[in-house]
Amino acid sequence: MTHNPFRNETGGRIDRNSPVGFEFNGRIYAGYDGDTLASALLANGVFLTARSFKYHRPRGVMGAGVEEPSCLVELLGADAGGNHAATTVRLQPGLRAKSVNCWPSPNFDLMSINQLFARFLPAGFYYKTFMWPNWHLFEPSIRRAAGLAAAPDDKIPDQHFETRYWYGDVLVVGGGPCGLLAALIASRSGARVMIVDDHPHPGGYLRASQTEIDGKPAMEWVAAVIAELDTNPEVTRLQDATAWGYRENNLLMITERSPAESHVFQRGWKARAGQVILATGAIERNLVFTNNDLPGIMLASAVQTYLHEFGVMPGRRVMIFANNSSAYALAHDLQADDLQAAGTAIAGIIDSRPADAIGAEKDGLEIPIYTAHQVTAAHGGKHLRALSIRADDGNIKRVDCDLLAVSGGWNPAVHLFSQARGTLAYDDELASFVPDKAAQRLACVGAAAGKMNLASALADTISTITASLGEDGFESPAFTMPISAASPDYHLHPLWHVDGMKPGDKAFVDIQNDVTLDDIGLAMREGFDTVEHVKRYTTAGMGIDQGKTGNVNVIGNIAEASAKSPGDIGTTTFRSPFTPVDFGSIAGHRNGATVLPFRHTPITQWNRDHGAVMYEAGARWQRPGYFPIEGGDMQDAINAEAEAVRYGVGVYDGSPLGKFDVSGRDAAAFIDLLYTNDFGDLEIGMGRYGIMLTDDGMILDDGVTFKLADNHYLMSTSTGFADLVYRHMDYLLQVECPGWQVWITPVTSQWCNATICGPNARDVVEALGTSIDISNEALPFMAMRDGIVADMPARICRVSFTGEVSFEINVWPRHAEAMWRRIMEIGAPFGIVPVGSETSHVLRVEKGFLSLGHEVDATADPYDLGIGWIMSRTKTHAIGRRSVDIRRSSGKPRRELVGLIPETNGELVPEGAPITPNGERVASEGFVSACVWSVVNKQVIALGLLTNGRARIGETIIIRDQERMIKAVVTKPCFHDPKGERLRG
Amino acid sequence: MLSLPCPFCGQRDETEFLNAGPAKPARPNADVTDSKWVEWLTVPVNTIGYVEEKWWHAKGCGKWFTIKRHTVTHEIKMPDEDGR
Ligand SMILES: [Zn+2]
Repeated sequence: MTHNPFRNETGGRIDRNSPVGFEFNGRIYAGYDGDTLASALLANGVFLTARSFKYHRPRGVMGAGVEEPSCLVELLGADAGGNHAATTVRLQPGLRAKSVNCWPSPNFDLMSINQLFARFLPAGFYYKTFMWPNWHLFEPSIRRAAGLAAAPDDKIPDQHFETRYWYGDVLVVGGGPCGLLAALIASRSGARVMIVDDHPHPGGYLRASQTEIDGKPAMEWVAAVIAELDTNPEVTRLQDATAWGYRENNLLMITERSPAESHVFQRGWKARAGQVILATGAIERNLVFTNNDLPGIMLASAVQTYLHEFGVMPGRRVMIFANNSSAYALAHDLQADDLQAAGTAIAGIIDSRPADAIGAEKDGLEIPIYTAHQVTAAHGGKHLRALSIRADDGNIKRVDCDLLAVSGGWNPAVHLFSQARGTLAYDDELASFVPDKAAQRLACVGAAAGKMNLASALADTISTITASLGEDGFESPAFTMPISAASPDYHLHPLWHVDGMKPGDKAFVDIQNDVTLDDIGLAMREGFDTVEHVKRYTTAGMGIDQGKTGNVNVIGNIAEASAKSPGDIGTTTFRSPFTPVDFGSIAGHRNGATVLPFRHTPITQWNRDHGAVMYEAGARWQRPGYFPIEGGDMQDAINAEAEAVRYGVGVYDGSPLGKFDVSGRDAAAFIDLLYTNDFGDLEIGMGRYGIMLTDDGMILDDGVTFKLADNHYLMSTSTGFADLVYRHMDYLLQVECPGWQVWITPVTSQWCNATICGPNARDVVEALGTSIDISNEALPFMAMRDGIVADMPARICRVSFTGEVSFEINVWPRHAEAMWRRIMEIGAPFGIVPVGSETSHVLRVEKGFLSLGHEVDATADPYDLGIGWIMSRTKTHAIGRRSVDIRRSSGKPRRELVGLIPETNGELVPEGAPITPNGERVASEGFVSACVWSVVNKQVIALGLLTNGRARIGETIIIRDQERMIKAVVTKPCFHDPKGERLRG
Repeated sequence: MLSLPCPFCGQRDETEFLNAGPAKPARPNADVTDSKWVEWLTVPVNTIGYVEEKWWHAKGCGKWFTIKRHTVTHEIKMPDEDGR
């Protein structure tokens, strides 16, 4: 038997035959299928559910939906996630939740001592107090005390997210009467339609009202509309799904929280529509008076929702405090006989409007109506017990109640409209902001458009959707307007706060962030007089709820204090997301390698089989870092590989190097345009190193280009920049040289290569058996030939990235593994070893060869790197040439490539460590770009860029590694075979 | 995420494209002054209203094309839609 002391015997849309057990703050409770966590807690009489953010004041549930400012929970277990409003958490078997902001429990909260210090915690307190030495010192402990929920530590095993796309004609946001009507008309016109509703069930506010449509309960009309929509295959209907972001070109970001497929935890939708209809309704706002945050004070609309949706009556003796006509509907509902019989007493309405302003809404009410009265304070410790109410003659009296339903008026939910960059206008009659000019193809209907009367809102919806469908060529069939029962007109007198507070009284304008009326006043006295500044200084409108119930009150109070209209104050920017979104629903299945797949060469499996430590080496290519050796560490393994190349023979898989086949009538001219150096005299079968620059004179890439035939080249690029180089070339050909005939074919994965390098490399190639004459005379350095190697078609290129004799054996991918195995087998007697990318790095640093991303960053030009010879004197038209010349003509000192020998006793210096004048804490004069243990020099060597470095060879400079100072001697940037005799051998 | 009109493939999502920044006027001749060259290189038009941009249909047909995009509303037109 479920014990729900505040649940009515009948009424509500919950299933009383399906009890649902759940845990809250470690205690076990039961609710029913159809409950939210908030409604179930209220039904159980759990009214104190949270502690406030800053002062740790007791708080309860105030709202019934996304507007909830107060009752935030952290979900545990399979649903784990932080900072959910309890009003939006569907009750499910096994749900476990706990309050945020209190420890150990909301009833006994040790942090509530903050209340005693409240006068020391005014607006801007953090900014003023924790400035020295810097905020980051204090932030962690303040955040912990503030205690918004922690993110789950680990990936939750069963939280499987996915993403879907939808494209269509009409997207309707909101499942209330106007949204349903718009979707129905669009559906009948033949358009492809999506309707998104953030409630688990359609109907919007009709679910919480006694309104009739077509002479029947409104929910019967809703059921008929849904039945028709669901038979149309062109209609997609999402329930329990929030459209939280309005992006450019009518793209909406939607999170669906309970997809039909049970294995999907949440589904993110990206939906793009020809036109969007925003039927997002309106959000009720709070009233600002002393202790307006006490548990037992709720929005009037929320009380109606608990009553009609959940069958929960969260109080026995009810008062209503309003400045408008809408809350009277609740009074009418509460007069019902069965509620009275069950012990609910509606004790009266406190209306701040004068008697003559109150119209038909009061007809039929048999309860006291205190016109021109205001609530000056709520009383009670952890729950509401009584109110002080003041008549317009100033007399104050006390009335007892345990539930106060407040209504400060309604704010059209313009969030998505505003995210779409539409402008807002202030409406004096509504005392709120309404949509003005749309910036995308969208329309607001119903309460979102400021139409607060159901009958006129429905009529307006029909004309709006019919017209906009017509613009897109859809003909709406004749439509009879659903007749809704006449309801009293919406009428309001603004009441931004109740006057007459005593010092120390707290009246909250932003419940979630604990921002009081005093804080707004303080911010304004200190000169923060625009709404954006007040928001930042006080934090009003920030946080999980983004001020849905409080923002307009903030604006109203700023306006009142500065004697302006709220329209002159304006709103803060409405940002996405409308409600909190799990990151998982944005990412979907796009995770790790699914976003950016790894690239592998055919040798990957061999590498793994031989114990290689694999990692990414640019552009997602997976390469062996090094091959561990028995009884040695990583450095030992690297040293062994490097020594093999320097004194014997090694082989590495060079396949990831970028390669492009460039051909066509104008190919030679194109190569000439790309590279700064001359290629005109390059002979067929030979290659040349080149540098290409961007227009602003930065180095884009370097590499060797071979001439295969007249106007036919094979260009190689660095591994990481191949895609960028392709983009650069394609841009030039399509945009700048459209008449040129040049074809570029990426062939990176069409040619794999094993590069055999070291003094014994030629012997290994001979032993493999080849049809190509590989003598130094027939195949000199930088030459290439096609032929047969080890019985396979192959192309041998003699380039060297190691400084030793190298033979790059290029084969088709299908032969790559076979070639590799043959090389390892035939090379074994020569002591051949596989070489990883760590060793390649050591070898190139010893030689002073450049590496993009190390020595070559977005500041260095070829002169700085000691290769000024590559800037052809005759080729002034080469891309980037002019910009380099202009920059250098300023005569400012440049950072130049140098070698460095750090005094570290064998320890490596971190790459990127700055070099500063005399090691002082001043602006750097350079940095270490690479640092390795040199096997030929038997010491630590480094490369770096140093201001005027070439003139400073022999000098001792100082590298700063955090607090450590390392002396280093400046040398030429080459530590091995400076004349290059070995690689030409 | 914009929706972009590829001249070959039609309306496609932005994720298929790469943006290449503002569309520049034609590359100046070699005889322009250094300051003109630097201006061409570094000063983009940045108005509230329509700007011209280069986009590349990298994950599609590979076409480079120019659009006009409104910097407030993201409305997109092809440059020739208003007589250019
Ligand atoms: Zn295309």
